[in-house]
Amino acid sequence: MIRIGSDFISLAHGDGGQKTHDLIRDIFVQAFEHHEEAKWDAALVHCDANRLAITTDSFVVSPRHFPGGDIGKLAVAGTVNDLAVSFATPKWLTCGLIIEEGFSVDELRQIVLSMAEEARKANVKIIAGDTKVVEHGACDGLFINTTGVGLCDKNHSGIPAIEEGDVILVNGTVGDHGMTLMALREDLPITNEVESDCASLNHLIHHLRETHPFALKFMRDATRGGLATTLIEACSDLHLDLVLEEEEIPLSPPIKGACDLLGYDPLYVANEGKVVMIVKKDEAKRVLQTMKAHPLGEQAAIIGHIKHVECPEGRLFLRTALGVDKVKRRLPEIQLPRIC
Amino acid sequence: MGFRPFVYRIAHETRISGHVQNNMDGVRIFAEGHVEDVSTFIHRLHNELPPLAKIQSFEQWDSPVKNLTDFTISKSTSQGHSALVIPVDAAVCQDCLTEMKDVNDRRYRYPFINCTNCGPRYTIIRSLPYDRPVTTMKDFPLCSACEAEYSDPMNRRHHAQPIACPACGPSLKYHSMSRTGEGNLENEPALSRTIRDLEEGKTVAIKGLGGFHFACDAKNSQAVRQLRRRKKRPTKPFAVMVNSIDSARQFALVSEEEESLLKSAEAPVVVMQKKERTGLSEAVAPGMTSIGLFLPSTPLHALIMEKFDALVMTSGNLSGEPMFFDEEDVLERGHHLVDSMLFHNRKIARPIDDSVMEVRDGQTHFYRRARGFVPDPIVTPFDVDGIIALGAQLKNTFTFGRGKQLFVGPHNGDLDQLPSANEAKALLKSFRKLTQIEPTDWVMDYHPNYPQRAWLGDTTLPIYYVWHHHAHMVSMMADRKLALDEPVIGVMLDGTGYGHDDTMWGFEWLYGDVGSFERFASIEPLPLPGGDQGTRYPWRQASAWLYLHQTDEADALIQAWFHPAEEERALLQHMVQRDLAMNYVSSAGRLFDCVSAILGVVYEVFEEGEAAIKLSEMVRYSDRFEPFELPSWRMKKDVRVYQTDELIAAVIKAKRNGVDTTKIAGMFHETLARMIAEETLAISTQTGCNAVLFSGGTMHNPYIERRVKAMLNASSLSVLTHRNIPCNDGGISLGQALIASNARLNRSK
Ligand SMILES: [Fe+3]
Ligand SMILES: [Mg+2]
Ligand SMILES: [Zn+2]
Ligand SMILES: [Zn+2]
Repeated sequence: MIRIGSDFISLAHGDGGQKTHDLIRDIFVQAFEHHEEAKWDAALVHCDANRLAITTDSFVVSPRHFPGGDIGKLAVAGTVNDLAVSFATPKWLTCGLIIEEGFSVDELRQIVLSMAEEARKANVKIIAGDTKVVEHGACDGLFINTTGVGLCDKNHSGIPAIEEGDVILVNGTVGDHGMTLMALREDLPITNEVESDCASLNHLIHHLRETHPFALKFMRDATRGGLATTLIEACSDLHLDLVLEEEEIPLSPPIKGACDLLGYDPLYVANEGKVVMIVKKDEAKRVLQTMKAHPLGEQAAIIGHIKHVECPEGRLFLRTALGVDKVKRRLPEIQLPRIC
Repeated sequence: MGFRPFVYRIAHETRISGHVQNNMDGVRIFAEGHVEDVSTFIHRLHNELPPLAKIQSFEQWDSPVKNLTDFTISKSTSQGHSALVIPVDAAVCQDCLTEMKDVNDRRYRYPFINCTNCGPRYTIIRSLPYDRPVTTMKDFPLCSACEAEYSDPMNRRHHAQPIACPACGPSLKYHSMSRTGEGNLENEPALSRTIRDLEEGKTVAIKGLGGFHFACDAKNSQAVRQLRRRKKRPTKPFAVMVNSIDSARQFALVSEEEESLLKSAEAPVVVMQKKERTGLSEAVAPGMTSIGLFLPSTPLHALIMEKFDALVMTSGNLSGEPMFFDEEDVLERGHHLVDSMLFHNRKIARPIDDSVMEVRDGQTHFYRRARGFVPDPIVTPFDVDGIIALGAQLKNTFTFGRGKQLFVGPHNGDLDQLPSANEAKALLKSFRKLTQIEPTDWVMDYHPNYPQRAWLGDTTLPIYYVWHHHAHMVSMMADRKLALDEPVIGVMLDGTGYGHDDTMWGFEWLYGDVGSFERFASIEPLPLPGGDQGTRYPWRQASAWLYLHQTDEADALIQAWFHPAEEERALLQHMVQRDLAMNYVSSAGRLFDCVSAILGVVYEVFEEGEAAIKLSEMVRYSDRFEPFELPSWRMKKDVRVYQTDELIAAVIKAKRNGVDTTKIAGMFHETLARMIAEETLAISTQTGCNAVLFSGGTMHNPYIERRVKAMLNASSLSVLTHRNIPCNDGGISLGQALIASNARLNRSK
């Protein structure tokens, strides 16, 4: 392994000179394995799709390392998931880094390797990138932006008609990512019991689509704002009234306990490896079985159903253990600061 | 309410000709005759009113003589706008009960017997003026016998809109929820089967005037516990229906005033001192020294109660939801809560719960203002037309302004819950129709997270915002008809309300009038871990307090008193140390929660306010206790802030010294009472104001009210408490409406 000659990033690493060249060659090109494309100012790719899916996301998570992942893994998985839930096959990623002067080179290497590893797992290539170094204090360590490009499925044309009684499915426990970060930041005594769910979901989603070609009608990854905010958006976008059954929503015990004491509603806490799906009602049980057989869906559950379609307002309800429906609204203030 | 027939009768008796007519202004009478006769007529009009009639205002003017030959009752019209009467429901009257028991009467054992002096009104009216075709009785065409009574001006049922008999009126039905049980029965068999079910310890959903009750035998603990399990109501006291005043006396000490309240046409649930060892199941009102009893309010209930001296008769609902008022809904969503259902085919136009009250110092005190009282208007000196005030979030009510009248609606429950919110919206619509109010201004609490905010969405009408405790104070002023522009001292003991320094308030001394107020004093805020969630766990509040104030011993005390799971304790400690997800509230409710947990009275609550209620129940009927040392105060931003932490510390010390729990509870109450009296006196001296008002939900506390009142009266201050409106958040909307009307007036100036 070539060493770039210093332990910390300096402003000179961002000025475009020798140090920049060394940084890129030694850390990025090595990790992302695309010596060929690096000869050009732009990455050239070949594809025969007539429709592409493109998404972009920035990652500013703090702390950068947490049980279950780090900012690098998150930056890949997050963008891969946005493509996958849009019924696209993720193919290529670009990545932009904003690095604070004085950042540890070892940590940078570790994060970049983690990006590379997640990209390999998700079967996507990181084909273009950019780094900027900013003065000390101008950013918090390291910010990453990734843009993803995926191929649209020729057989998937728009959202199929959603019907009353269609089922809401989630691939596992909710709130893990947000509460893990919260626990770390606040040094909560549950730190050893929790883990972020950060994961690329494209293989799981691909597998479900192969096995049940017409069962999945709509998907979203329930990231910032948690399951509730994601579904509130979906309800208003799709004009649906949707009912969640509180008792069916999977929660890990330490997260449930912590949320109860802190007064947080786990349905509003961020996830980074959770997809929530609207599934055709008569195939829901089978989709659930397939999901549960997959490592990323072992704790999957049917958590609700579509109550009404064509509701101009489009509302999310939570049916409590007492059988009472509560209206869920967007949280008036940010529940947990800067978790992403 | 039999007013026009009454006018007709006395007109005949005093040789008056003319006519009487209902319109939207009220009742208009044209009377002509000899001068003496007319004045006798007017005198009798005022002094011989039928039981349900009240004259809110009376105007008299001269009119040209028409030389009419007789007196008639004219058809109602929908003209007029100055004053509006929406008739309230009334309990079955003695005359009807007597007829119902008479084997020769054609309404013998008829469960829907009524007359102009009793029966359903508010619950069957679809629109005004009140006439049968606009009630849910329009489904029942009158038989000739009823028709004759209805049109005979001398009959007790003249123009009794809900008039009915077995031949033409509603009928009774029984439905078993179990597959094996008898299916559908009607009338007498339905009734006797219901009685058998109740005798066997089953729970029956019974459709009454304003909605369904769930009934079971109040002496059968198994039956009562089963109902608690099904309703998921582990602790809330159930109301008990008794068949007579004599039965009431078996279970409670009944004063003369309580007796007349029980027997009144409003027939509310009356909360009274419970007797020991009465044969009632302990599960009816666990941990309570009081009990809520009421008499049969409908002929149907009277028939059922012939076989029982006491039945649990609790609102038929899913926990936290409004009561069921439609049999289809019970079948669909409530079938698992009961064994069977007794219902009828008279539709309920809008539901209403039983009123819950008590007698304090010979005066009425409301817990819930509902059947029999809603929607009696409150007359104001102001123009409140078009103002609709949307109340608080819990115990929500709406207030509708029309002309100079304010109509306070029934309790809507928790607006975060869909069924409550839906019903609140339906009520809003139905009141708009009844009162023909076109809203011109909306009024809301300043709290940024109240769900009402979302409702108004993109309204183009002005929205007025009102501070929670200002609304409490002004509701109290209106309740007791004080001049709204004369300042008063408002003592607010409450759960929580949003205050103008963006913190939560609830133990406040305010000074002001309808236009503005100042905060003179408060208490040191108490820790509330985890926000609203924390209010469910008084032990967590107490633990947080211990971690903040008794650092060395907190762990030991928390473990000894509350036995928390280790993870829970560690996390809670961490929250306090890191000040994480902690709120600090100057709330009387939370102060009582904290002490309630420390004394081991309530650790976890299942009903709002439960910890404070159970603590106050311990000393409800006690005379008086010695106080602890009074808490000191500090000036903070011009507010005297009482260090009630000193009081909590004194409570803890007494507990550790082995002082009897009831005695500590009493000393805690007495200390607060003296602290309140002392501060109130100081404000009175400072401002020269002698009028003191009590409001806020924690002012239900009988000991505090009684003692503070006694001390202040001794210092010749005049202390006013609520009589017509609850002191809890059910009164908020009334205060809101008045504050907004004042603001609107100033704006237009
Ligand atoms: Fe209040
Ligand atoms: Mg994203
Ligand atoms: Zn009657
Ligand atoms: Zn008839």
